[in-house]
Amino acid sequence: MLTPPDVALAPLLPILLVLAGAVSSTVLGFHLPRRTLTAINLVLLLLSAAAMALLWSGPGELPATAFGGSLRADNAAVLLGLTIVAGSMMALLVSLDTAYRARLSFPEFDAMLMYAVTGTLLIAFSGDLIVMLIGLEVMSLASYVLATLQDSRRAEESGLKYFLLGSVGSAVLIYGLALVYGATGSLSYGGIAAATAGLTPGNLGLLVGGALLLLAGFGFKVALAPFHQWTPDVYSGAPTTVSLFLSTVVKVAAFAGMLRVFGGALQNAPFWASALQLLIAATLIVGNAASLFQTNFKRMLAYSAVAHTGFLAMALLGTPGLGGAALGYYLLVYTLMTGAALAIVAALQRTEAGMNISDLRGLYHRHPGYAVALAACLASLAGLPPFAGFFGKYLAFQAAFQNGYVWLSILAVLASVAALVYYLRPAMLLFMPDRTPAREYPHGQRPATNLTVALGVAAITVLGLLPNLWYGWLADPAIWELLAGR
Amino acid sequence: MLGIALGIGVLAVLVSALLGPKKASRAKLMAYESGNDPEHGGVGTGQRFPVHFYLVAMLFIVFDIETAFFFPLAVAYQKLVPFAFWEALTFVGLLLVGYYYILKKGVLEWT
Amino acid sequence: MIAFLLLGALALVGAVVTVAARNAVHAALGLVGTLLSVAGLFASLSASFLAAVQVIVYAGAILVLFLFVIMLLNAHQPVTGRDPVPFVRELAGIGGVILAGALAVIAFSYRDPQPLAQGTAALRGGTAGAVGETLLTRFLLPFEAVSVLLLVAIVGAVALVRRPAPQPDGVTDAEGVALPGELPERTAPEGGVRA
Repeated sequence: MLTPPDVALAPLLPILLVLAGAVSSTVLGFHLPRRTLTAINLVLLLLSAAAMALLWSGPGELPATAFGGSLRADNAAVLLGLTIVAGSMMALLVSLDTAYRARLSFPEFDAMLMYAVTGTLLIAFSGDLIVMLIGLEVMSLASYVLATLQDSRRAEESGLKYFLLGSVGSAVLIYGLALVYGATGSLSYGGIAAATAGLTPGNLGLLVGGALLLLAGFGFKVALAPFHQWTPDVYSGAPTTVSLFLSTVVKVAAFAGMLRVFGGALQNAPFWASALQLLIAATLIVGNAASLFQTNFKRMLAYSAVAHTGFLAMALLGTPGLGGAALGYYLLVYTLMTGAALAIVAALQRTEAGMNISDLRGLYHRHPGYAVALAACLASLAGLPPFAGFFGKYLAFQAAFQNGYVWLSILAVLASVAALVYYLRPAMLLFMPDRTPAREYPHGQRPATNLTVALGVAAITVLGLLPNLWYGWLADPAIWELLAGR
Repeated sequence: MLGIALGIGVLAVLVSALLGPKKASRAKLMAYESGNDPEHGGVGTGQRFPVHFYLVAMLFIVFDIETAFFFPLAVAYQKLVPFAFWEALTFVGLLLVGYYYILKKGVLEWT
Repeated sequence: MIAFLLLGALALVGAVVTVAARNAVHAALGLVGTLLSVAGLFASLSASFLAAVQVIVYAGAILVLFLFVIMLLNAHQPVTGRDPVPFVRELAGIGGVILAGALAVIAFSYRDPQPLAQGTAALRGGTAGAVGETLLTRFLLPFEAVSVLLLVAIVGAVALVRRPAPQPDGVTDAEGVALPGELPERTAPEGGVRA
């Protein structure tokens, strides 16, 4: 008889709760109306967040692990997991109001969303490459379905593109994973980090090759140029609620994986950082330049998501302590501001194609609340000081700058100046006088969307004025230096 | 041994080719396409094909992979007995959810 | 050693056929050859369970699906015309040679890292029993997570083919009247793919 594996319930509980929501939506969908299931899922997400908060380990405490270290519920996992739950709840709340118009209001939508969240949490809580990979696959598979689920040509095109390019990304990632395993002989982050110190030169080549392939694979998932080409088509072709989910939660999870792999397991491995800075430079240029020329607001937000990938990834170039904290802060802020902006688009659009930027003219006179909220989101996305987006960008630039990436930081500052143009143009249009008939969807009281937008905008304002409310939890460098464990 | 094995195989084909009666008819000469006429309204002639076939093939693969995971479990079961039962139960339980969903959706009903 | 080289050569021939064949069915058959040779390679490296799975899952189920799709999509007419991307063949060729060279260099300078040797020893030749023991103790979490992955695949495939009907969401206009949904952009043809 062999020794049984160490199954511990506490670190697994946040994931199990979300999985329970997914399974119940699958099974009970034949008996209960969809809105009831969404309510159940929202409650389960809240419970999952509470379970994560209970896993917080104070100074000196060892983080809870299970399955021989395959599952690590350390503080980094808790913080990233809370960000994921926040984004998922935004998507679910918005879907309460808009899913019927998007022809998505059936239990399968909830089920797929919750499966995807299960996968994202597995990534955040992963302690080895295999768990990370399976979490990534669960998330990706569910996301492909989510993007395709609406019965329309646009959604089908978007889903097919997502699927084809996403599976290429997964394949590249698996290849890289195999090479890293071959070079270090270990799958756990801690084992890889320990093995990277004393490698023979032959295996070093293998490690570098594996790290670069992993970088390319993650590049597909987070949309780093030149692997970003699917992003605008998928985000603008998928229903807006789904775009909200994809551009926030899925991206946060992919960055969580990158943080675990590059900030934890491969932190001593050579060469990937040099490659990453080139990718970031390309992403900053491509994302910001393309955003300048968009006429459709939803598509502009898609390109802005690409541009933000560049800003976010700069945090990975910092030292683990500083960079991890910057990324953790920026990811939450990015989720809140992108989520709130897309929630407004979902509420006001006439069709799933979103709306043109010119249609926003004079929105303040028709929907003053939405207009002010949207202006706040755009200002935060642009990185203007009173809002949290400023502090996020500042932290990410600082992390890269202090670690010696001076030219990249200068490029990023220039890029964010250029970004002001495309964020502030729609923001100005909102408040201009307009006599033409309204071009947004005229009906509806949308309590859930209003709540989401209000909470999101309040959060980015408060976090901008008092950043330590969130940053205070992240600031301890020990959290991010021990991503791989000891 | 190898010679006998090869010999039987070759012999069987040869003998039936030499001794068998040969009466060709249209139906016999047609390419085999599982009962569909390959030239008139069969596969590859632009006829609509129910997506149902594809779905069943998809589900077959998923459950096939599940079997692949079950095989090592079954072989090693004796050594792992007290806890492997619960592990296997979780695994099957999750797949039963999928099976219930398929049944309720009526995917297995062929109308 | 001879079996290994022969099977490796056979896998290469199959791969070349897969890439070079103009007829999709021939390409798929070339792929069967490759997959079976790789199964043989696994067997010759005494990874018996992996060899069996390779035959059952890849050469069996997945190839059947490949052929099915080729049949459904009417892809068994040869593809003609020019590549949409210029120089893609040349670039792929150069990239392939560089990759092969790099892998060869790596293969000859490779040393087993310490933990890998322990892992190999734990698998004791890769029989199904040894794989099962490792799977249900050290790799239990991935094992259970895979069942979630399979569940997502099942539910996702069925939900996409049999799209459920949207349920009204109870959003009302200012007077409290339930709102109509968006007009469908098209009516889907009832569950059919052109053969």
